[in-house]
Amino acid sequence: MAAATHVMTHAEFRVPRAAAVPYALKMDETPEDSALMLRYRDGDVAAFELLYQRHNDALYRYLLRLCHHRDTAEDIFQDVWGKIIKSRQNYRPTAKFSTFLYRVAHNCFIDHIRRNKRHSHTVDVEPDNQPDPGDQPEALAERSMARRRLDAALTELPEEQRDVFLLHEEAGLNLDQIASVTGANRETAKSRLRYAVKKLRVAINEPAETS
Amino acid sequence: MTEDRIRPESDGEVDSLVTQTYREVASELTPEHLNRAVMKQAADAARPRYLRSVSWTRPMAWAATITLCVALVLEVTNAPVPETSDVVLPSGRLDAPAPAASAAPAPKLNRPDPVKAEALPEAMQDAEVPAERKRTAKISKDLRQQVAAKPASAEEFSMKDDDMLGRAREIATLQTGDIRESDQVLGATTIAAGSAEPSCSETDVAKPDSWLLCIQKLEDAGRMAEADEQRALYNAAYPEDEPL
Repeated sequence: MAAATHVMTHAEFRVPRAAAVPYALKMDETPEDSALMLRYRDGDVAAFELLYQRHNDALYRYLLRLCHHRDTAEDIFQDVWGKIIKSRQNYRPTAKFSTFLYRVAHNCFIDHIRRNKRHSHTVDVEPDNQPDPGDQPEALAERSMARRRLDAALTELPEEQRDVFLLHEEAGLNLDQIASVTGANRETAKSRLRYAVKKLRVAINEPAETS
Repeated sequence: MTEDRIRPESDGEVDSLVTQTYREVASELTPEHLNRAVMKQAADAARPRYLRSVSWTRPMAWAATITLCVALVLEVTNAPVPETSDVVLPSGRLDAPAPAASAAPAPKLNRPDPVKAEALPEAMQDAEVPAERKRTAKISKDLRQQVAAKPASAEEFSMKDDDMLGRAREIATLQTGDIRESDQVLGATTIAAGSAEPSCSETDVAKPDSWLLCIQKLEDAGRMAEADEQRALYNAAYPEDEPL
């Protein structure tokens, strides 16, 4: 009886961690990006690691396709994360974290272009042409050619259209978020995306002999 | 790292073929050196500032401490050692008489000297004498001026002047150093006053020193009977003193 009373008393006064920390993680619940960022602001490096693992590859591909230069992409990549780290004290979860992250990346890329007027369009990114072993040789060859054509068409896209397409594909942003990142209005973003997709579709469907 | 692609919200602008083809093309992963660099940067930034500062302040503090210690040791070893012959020991002062208070220099050693400690009350008594002398010298100077201003004729002295004379004598007795000078000054007035003066006034009798001085003056003046009378009175008044 005394032990039961003790347990009840202990349970009454135990403060759940979720109540103590507003952005604390509940069981079986994936933490939001903004919650992870807030935890990192309070010194939780593991939260940042989780946040980084969610976005690092997509951001890297975005920058790689945007710059078409591996070293430049890596420099900008480090610059972007450095700014994210520095801004942790002032971070307010007013918008989606990915919007915030890609806005920083977009601005870093624009700054890089302004700093280096002789922006090189050197394509040193080779598409991954790993064949699917289940396909027939003719189909494999056709898919490989399609990938090459798409990669080339992506490189040839105007910078704004390529940016919008990559933000849509890699960051998973919708038109409003793309407009927020690029600083354009929604209709402009929608138009750019439509033109980009149209050109890429044409490139994919081009006859083999043309490419 | 994760290969989970974020599926964009469908805006009806991207067809599945383009998306699928693009994802077959773009499958690059972040290089490991970039991952390490970013995570290191994040971990360094998350550490408290004081911990970050410790990484360089602690070796700096040790270096400063060692430098100070070495400098102190070098300073001590290079400092000239005073020879014992140069040190003046105060042992010779044990036999020396206690110096006069006015001439005694301030002791240079902080350690108390037992000889000086014994002589200190006497010196303090002596130190009070100059102040007293100054005061009495001023009074005697005023008296001299008064005497000089008045003609020293016997008829001008009256009983009223006896008070002033007694006061002068009192001052003269207090002023031991100036007693002869005062007597020289006052001698003329005493002689001028004549034998009508009583042997010793009440003022003289009030203090033993002035009384003895008065007796001495009577003897010097050849008034031995009066001197003997005063001496007998003195012995009766101060039986604890040595009989005169």
